[in-house]
Amino acid sequence: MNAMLKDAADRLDPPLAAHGLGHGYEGATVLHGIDLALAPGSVLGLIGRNGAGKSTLIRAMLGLLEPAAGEARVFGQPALRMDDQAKARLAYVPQQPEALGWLTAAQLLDYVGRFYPRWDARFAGKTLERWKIPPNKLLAKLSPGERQRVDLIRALASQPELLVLDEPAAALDPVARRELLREVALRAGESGTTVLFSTHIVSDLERIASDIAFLHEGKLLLHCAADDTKERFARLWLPAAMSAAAPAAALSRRRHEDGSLSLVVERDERGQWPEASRLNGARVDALGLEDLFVEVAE
Amino acid sequence: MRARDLLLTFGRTTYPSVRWLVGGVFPLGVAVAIVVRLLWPGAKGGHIALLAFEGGVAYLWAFFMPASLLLARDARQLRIPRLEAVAAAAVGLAALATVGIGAALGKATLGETSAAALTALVLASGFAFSLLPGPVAMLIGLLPAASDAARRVLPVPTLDDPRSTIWWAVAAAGFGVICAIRWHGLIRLDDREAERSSAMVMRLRGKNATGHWAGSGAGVRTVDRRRPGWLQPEANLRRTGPAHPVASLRVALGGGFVPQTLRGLCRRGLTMAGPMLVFIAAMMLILATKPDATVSSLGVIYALGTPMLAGLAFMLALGLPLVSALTVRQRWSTSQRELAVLGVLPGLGTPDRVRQALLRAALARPVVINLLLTVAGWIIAQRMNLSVIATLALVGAPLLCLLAGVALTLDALGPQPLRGWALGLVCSALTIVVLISTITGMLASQLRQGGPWAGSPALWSIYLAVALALTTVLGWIAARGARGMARQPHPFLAHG
Repeated sequence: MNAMLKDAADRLDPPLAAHGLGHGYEGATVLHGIDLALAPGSVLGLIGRNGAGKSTLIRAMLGLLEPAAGEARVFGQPALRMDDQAKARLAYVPQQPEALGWLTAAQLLDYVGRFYPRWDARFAGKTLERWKIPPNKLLAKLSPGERQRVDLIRALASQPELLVLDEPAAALDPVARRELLREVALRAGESGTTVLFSTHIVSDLERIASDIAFLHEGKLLLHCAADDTKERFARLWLPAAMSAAAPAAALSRRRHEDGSLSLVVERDERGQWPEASRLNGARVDALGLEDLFVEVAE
Repeated sequence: MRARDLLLTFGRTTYPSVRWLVGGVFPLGVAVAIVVRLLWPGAKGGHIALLAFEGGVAYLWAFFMPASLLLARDARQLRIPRLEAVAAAAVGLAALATVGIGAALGKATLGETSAAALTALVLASGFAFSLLPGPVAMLIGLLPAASDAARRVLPVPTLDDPRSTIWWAVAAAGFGVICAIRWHGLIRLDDREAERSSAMVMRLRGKNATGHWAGSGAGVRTVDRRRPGWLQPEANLRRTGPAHPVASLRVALGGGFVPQTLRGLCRRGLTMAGPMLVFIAAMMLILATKPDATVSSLGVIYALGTPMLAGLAFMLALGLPLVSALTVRQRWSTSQRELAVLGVLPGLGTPDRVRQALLRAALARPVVINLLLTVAGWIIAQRMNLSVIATLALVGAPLLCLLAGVALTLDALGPQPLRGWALGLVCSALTIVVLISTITGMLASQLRQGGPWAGSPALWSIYLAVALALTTVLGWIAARGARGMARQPHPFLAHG
């Protein structure tokens, strides 16, 4: 009975969630009360500029740092007090995979594999071979790209239900990046793996993300389905004479030298653009994901 | 070339950790020299004062001044010849100043020329230490003990022998030539060659690259990358996994913690003992080729072996706990590396179980080694009927090192470790107390006497007071670290 209740609870709890998460370093606030939850089986792309707080948010959500405010939960458990069962269901690849440089690639996979009950040693060995990574070379002596790939193999071989990747493609060449994205999409599609990955490469998001969260200066500006962004957000341009009519709620606001105003606006609950868009001379431009990112982040 | 540029060169080219360390050790040598000279006006006091100063000089020239070579090399790479000239000129001027101070300090006892020659020898050998590859540089560290032992079979003059000036001057010139050749070669290295260079200064550059005691370990990782394959630890993963949390955590802690294969252990042992074996073989060769020597081989081995064993015991007792604690401190300074793996690794158990395993993994070796050294010290003191103070020195030093290892490791595992300057202060005080204890114990056992200050209650009272104060501070650090560690939800949280 207890097992049944636990299974039911697991199904109800999101694999990863943050509630009012706040954190700071040396007096500067890095995260401002973030609320974020990943639906099971979703692929959430966390996008933001360098220093936006993506890595801090990920670490706080996984219990790798104690947040100043709020709470993170992994499979319904407090992230800071996860048990072994919860840990066995998740895999994380940090931004700079530099851990355990004194082991060879084969030793790392052997060492880590002993801790995961569902470790796929065959996959680890084959992928190491397929990605042409010398198994007996020390990790410290591998190139950054090779190390990142070893860490990705480590994460994928544990057959996680939740895969968290912090800028996984940063050190990869285009071919390796494409392979990684294919692998992630495959895992999500076939095994229902929930994926959170941070990036500032917009094309990666467009390729595999089902949802997008946009972090800017420690605030979560938007969180929606990837397919919705084109429909939901647009750039509203208002000539100088009409700038007073600009809506108060806008994701970004930029005044040009001639006094005109550009705003990133969102459709309301009825699917309508703000009133100002209907003024004479006002213009609404559709935004691609990259344009949306640049407009908001600039 | 402005005087200001020359003066600032060394400050600009060294990392803060090195500046802190050398800024503590060199003035300490000078201060000890001045105090001893003032309180102990005779020839013996003069010798001790000069030796204290020379200790500081060796440290200064082995770890601080060589940074100018790095500046000269970088300047050459960046095509800024004027900067390269400034670095070289700064070294020259600093050498002149050091020799000048040494000559002035030794004027009353050895005479200006002799003291200048001795200072030049210490300076040049210290500088050569930094420019030569590690195993060869280690031999330089053994030279004082070697000359002491060689005196029994070769006409090596003593400190106050007038012939010593020539010996020192010739040896200084020899080291000077080595320094000039190495400097000339090293500044011409391109980046790829510099990566592979085995010169101590190049290797220490990577190690100190974090810039402070609590560094993220980026520099250590550079050293890991540069270390040749045969010097890399050979991890033994046979007894790792959820059933063996202690061994598993030792693998994750890296460095000297990693369980090694038998081959790896032998290789490491040979690397460490190699220079000593070479030295012992050389002494045996001298004995074999000089059958008319009046001294027994046992005497040579005793004269040579005692300082070597004392040096080894000192390195093990002090070095092991400090290096272990600093390694843990580096691992816990960032959540990006090992902690990112450990924090989400299943199978290690509850946070309390992990804490216990972690402490066993980090502390077992320094604790066991220091307990063994304590027992050894006690046995030596009993067998030789040493005085109370000499016994205390022999037994207390490893116990103090044990406490330091525990305190600094707990501090490193806690959320708010000591600031870099405070850690430096504690480590310096500990080094001085342990060094004095080792020398006291060694002299007492060698001379079969009560020890150098057995008859000076004032001096050993000060020593005891300092040792007790240090014990109290270490106890406080340990309690603070343990409280902080217990408060954390799990032990794999990086420093806040």
